[in-house]
Amino acid sequence: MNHNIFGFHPGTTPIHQLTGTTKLIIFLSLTIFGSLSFDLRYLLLLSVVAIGALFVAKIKWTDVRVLVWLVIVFAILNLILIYVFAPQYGTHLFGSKTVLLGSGAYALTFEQLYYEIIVFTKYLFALPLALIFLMTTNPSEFSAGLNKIGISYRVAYAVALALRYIPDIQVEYQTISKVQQARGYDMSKNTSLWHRLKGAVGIMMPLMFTSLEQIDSVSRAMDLRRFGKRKRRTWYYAQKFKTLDWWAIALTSLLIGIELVLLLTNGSRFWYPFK
Amino acid sequence: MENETSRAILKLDNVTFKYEAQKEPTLKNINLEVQAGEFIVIAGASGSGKSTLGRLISGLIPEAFPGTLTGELYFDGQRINDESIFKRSQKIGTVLQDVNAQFVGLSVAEDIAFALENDEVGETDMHAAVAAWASRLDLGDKLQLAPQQLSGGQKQRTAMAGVLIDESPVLLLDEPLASLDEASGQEMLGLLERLRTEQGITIILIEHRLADVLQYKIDRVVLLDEGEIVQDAPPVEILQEARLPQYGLAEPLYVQLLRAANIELRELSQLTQPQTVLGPQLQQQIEEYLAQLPNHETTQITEPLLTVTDLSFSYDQNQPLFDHLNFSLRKSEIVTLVGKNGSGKSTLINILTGFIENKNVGGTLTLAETDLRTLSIKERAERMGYVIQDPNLMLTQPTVFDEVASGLRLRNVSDSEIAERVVPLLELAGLYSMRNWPTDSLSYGQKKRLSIITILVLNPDILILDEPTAGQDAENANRLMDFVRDLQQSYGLTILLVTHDLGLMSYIADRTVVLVDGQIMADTDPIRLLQQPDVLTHAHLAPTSLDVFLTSHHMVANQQVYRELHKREVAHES
Repeated sequence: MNHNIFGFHPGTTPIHQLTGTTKLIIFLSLTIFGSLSFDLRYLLLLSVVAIGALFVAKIKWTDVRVLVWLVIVFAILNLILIYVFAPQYGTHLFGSKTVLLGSGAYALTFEQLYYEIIVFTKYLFALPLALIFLMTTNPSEFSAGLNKIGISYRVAYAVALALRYIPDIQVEYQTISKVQQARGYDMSKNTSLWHRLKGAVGIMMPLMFTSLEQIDSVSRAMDLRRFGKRKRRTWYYAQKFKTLDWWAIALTSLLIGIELVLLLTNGSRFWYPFK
Repeated sequence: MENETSRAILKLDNVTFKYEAQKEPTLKNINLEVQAGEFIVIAGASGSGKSTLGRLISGLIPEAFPGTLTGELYFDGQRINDESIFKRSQKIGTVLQDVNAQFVGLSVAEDIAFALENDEVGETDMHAAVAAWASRLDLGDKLQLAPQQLSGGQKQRTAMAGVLIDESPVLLLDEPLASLDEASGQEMLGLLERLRTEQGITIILIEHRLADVLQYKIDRVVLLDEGEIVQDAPPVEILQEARLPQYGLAEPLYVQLLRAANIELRELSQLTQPQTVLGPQLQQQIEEYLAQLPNHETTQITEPLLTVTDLSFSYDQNQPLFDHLNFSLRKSEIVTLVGKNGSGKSTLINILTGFIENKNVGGTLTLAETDLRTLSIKERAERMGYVIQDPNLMLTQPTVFDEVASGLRLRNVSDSEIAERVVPLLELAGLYSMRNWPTDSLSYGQKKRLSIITILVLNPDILILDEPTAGQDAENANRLMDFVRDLQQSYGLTILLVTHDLGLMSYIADRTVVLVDGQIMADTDPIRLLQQPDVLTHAHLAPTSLDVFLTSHHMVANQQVYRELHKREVAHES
């Protein structure tokens, strides 16, 4: 039943061919620089690049559907909460107040709307980037990459193993969930959320026990093959940078360069042309 | 005087070990010598201490499993009691029981290279060593595959290559057959024989499925019982002295037959080889025995209960798994579903039980005139219970009683009726006295029985069991299957068993269905299946040793022999 499982899927697209280190560097730098910027033009540019890359990487909608919906729900919740707790944050940021609707503290202003659109575009580029990274990076290459940028190989490997077991745990969760449904826990959409939550807790227990056992045996298997004996280790998939990697890094540098130029010309992280 | 020609590569001198959390030692006064180049088997029933002995040899004890160790361990004359696990791993390569957990890398190549990566071996040397061991273990064209794409046998061989790459002189394998079908198991044992002769590797095999192992070139069998070595002898002696049933292990079926026919095993030559075992009047005595068995009962053909017509299904649109598959179960029959892994056995069951959603499934599914597709998973479970292979994934309640009652409570059955329905099942499963115990405290066999009655409490007409005997020793497996048979008789159940064990199939099944690559290759009675070698090969099944024996001695088996031998075995155990 290895279908529609979220996690690394092998492939042959240019993005799959980039080394783990390249992908890690691009993912981290674009996410960090993107989240620093409040320039709508720049965020839209990043979104276009990221969404374009999603198509280049040929990521299937069915594989990421659940996660995308989750993030959308979370994003909307986030936008609503910003409005609830700081309805005039936009006016404060941009130093003007253009009321579109209503009055008083919760008056909807153009500035607030603009600010929330900026927040939304941050999701718009960050989510595709994360999806591409998770779906196209072989966890082993990823840990080799982490190790290369200076992180201890023990930590790097632990992260890779965690990534590796995500699909296994999903399959196990589905099995337990189906067995519990057969026993009588109605987990379908026609029961209350509370009921479904109770059912989910029942599934977590055996899942936790089997996962802990698995962690135990994996760590024993690793001990038996001398993991952690030396300060450093080599990697079977130590990949050499290819031209493609240099191009990808160059493109990323260009994107970062654009941001720096924008920062200088705007004089701040914000860009607000409507004053 | 020390013997110069055969030196002990591994020696345990009066070793006793007690786990930290336990009161009694698990291993008591173990004395064991393994000579360089030997192939030995350490055997024993569940709880005999064989896994603990394995951990001691691999070095996992005491580092990963703390406890008190007395006595001395020597490797090649050197005391190794206080050696680190890293050092030990370069002398003794260990393949753990759970091959999935053993698989650390994300591809075959990476997994084989793992130990070398940790030793900081350079890229060129590493790639050369990986290629060499991969080709030695027939994995040359599989290097880039991920673990999910491999068969059980290929995973096992990857794990072996991953430790042999250290060039360690000793290879230790913990129950390697547990996760393999019979055909892959035989291939693996053949490979071990070859490694021993060609590479001179000393092999220590921990196993309870001895019946499958004894026909290979094994020097000694070390039998463990309750933490002590009770016998250390060549396979022939172990068989002659009827040691295996005494310690809860299964004898090969053909040996059981020889014994049932009152043949003196000491007078036979090549006793460990079912094809070539020879003796005075062997054939005549067996024929007489077979002739006096009661006639084969003809099973009554009952009306169909479950009918699957024109079933079609695919995970991937380009590759249909099922295309117009027809399948049925009749009332009160026991059917085994056999075939190699990945042939669609689990998928078929998941479709029947509703675990796979209707929308991709074509065809009709009818259970006693009800269209199954109109029923939810929950409603289907009330008529068709499914017990998955791993009981740990089924048990979610705090106590044994709650576990069985859970399905009824969720259907709002009154407490008094719950007690009425749960108690007899607990008694039948031999779990009544443990009804208030936490489910964690049960043994694997008890959990397995518990998982069956939690499903049965809903009174289904059909019970589906996935690999019910996998990973259990003979005594536990027999007990479980007799329990299932009792259930079948007292409730008139229809039972569908998924299994690789043709011995089990031969005595229990009324009918057997062979599924290979989504197609039914045979639907026949079990004995007839055994007589179709080409179907068996296609389905990755191996004939039983009884069948091999009878065929090569120009006789034919019937189901009565299998049933009689099973009865004898069970009688011997109790």
